[in-house]
Amino acid sequence: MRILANSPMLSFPAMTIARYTIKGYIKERVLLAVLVFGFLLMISSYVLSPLAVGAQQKIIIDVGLASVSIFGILLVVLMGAGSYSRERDKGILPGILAKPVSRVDFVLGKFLGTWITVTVVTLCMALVFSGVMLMSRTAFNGTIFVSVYLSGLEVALITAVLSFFSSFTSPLLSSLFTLCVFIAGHFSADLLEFARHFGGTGFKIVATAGYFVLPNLSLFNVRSEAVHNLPLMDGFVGSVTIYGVLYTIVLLFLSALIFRRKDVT
Amino acid sequence: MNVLELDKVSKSFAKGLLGRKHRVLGGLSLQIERGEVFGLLGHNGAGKTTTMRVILGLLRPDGGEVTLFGDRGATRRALSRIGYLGDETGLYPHLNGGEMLQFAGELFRLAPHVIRSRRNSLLKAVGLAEKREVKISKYSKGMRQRLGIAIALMNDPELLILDEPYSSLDPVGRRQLRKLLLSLKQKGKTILLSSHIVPDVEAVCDRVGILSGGTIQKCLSLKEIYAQKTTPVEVTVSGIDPRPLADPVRGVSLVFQNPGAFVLRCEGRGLMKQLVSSVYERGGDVLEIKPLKFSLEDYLLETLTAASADGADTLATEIEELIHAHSS
Repeated sequence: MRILANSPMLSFPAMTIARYTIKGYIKERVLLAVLVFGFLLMISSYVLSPLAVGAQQKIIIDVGLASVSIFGILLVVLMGAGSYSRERDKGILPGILAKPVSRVDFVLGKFLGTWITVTVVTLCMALVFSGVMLMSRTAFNGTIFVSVYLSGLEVALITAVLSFFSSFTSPLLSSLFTLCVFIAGHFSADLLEFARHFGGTGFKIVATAGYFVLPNLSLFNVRSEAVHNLPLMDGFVGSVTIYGVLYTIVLLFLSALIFRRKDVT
Repeated sequence: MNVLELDKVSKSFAKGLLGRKHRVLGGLSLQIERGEVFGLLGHNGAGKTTTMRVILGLLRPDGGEVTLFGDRGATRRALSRIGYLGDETGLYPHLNGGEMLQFAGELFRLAPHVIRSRRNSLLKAVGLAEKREVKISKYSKGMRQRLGIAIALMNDPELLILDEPYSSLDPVGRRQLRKLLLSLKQKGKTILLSSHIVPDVEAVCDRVGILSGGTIQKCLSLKEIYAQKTTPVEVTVSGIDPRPLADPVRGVSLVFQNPGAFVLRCEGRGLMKQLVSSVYERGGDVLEIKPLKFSLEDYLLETLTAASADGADTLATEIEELIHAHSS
């Protein structure tokens, strides 16, 4: 991470902001705390898995992949919102935007800084997870790698959601809204299905609107397939990648659009 | 050629979501020429910081136009030629002084060797060369202000916008900054600065604008200000009781008396001559004639008092009209 933060390759304004955002995150205690907690959880799955007779390997994969995904999202919510608000509260933002740096550069820079940091942490957790799998002699399958990849994509999307909310609300509210989107995004498809079968007209409209507006995050969750070593549909990863990237770009575009019109005080 | 032009710029802020709008700038116009050092003066909340932020594009004006280096608004091209020190220095506490300057240089897209050399010379110029490796969180307020000044100079700007640059500086720091600004002035840099410390503005500025009620009330060069005002003179008299000579209506007032001497103050050379001859005619002695220096601070206070009196008069008239309309 330190290498990334000091890389001269990242020299455009957005990249410069991203690099210094990463430098800021390296000093954050919450990063270390979440990382340690994630590692502990994975290792505990190895220690406790013998209790689930016959399903040890499944538990190790399930807990490991869930840790990689959930702790990544948690990091985005806890660190990201603080980083955005710090720039505003400490008067750093006017100093940056009074230089030849566009607001789009700033939004993009903060997004990249947060996403790269969390992705590196996710990869570290994935490495520890691999170590736990090797120790427990759990067999690797291709879907496990796909699951880790999709977690990284989900982190990008959630970072964009946070960036969107941070462009017009307080850090507390943006964290809260991002968490709500994360939870609702995982259940929007189930909610729509439930509304179709049992709901009234109003509920159906709300559920349908929610399904189309909120990101369908259940697409990024292939843990069950990884645990049971089930094959994924042809073209699934590609289409989810396109969906995630497009959704992220749209959200970043909206963030920049809102932020461009905001007064910086 | 004007480096900066503001044409009838207005800006209001809403208090709360549905709150009434509070007007801070109401049709502010201003031109600053290349190589000029312009001081923006005014009381707290007069709109000095708002003016600067509108110039830099941080705030969107409700009306009017900002022209920077011939460009409409704060374009990237214009911003790359400006150095800015805000009312808050805005520094990352986890970085050290050198890293913060590196960050600024990279945002200005300067070449690495330029960043390196400017970083070193600027840290030296603001007296932070030995503290370059120290984290900003460990810096004192004055040190942060010095670093903020160095950052504002990082791109070797043609226009320097400094919001309260003297705040948090000790007397030594203030003197150093004054010297630095004077040297920049000699190099032909254009400077727009605001400050509450009027003598410091007086020491470096060519022209000042007094901001009150959302507009520039007065905008004059220091030469014009001094030429406009008659310098008051204090005359110390002994041997007679000069109280009959004091006539506030004519501009002669008694300011001090002790058993041996009286001090009279009069405005202008003509009155002073009359006063001195009257003292000698009555058999008294003139012990001292001392011209009092008219300062920019006096001028500022005079202008602001007049502006607030006008405001109060307008308000009183409005209230009177309202009562009259209500009763009829």
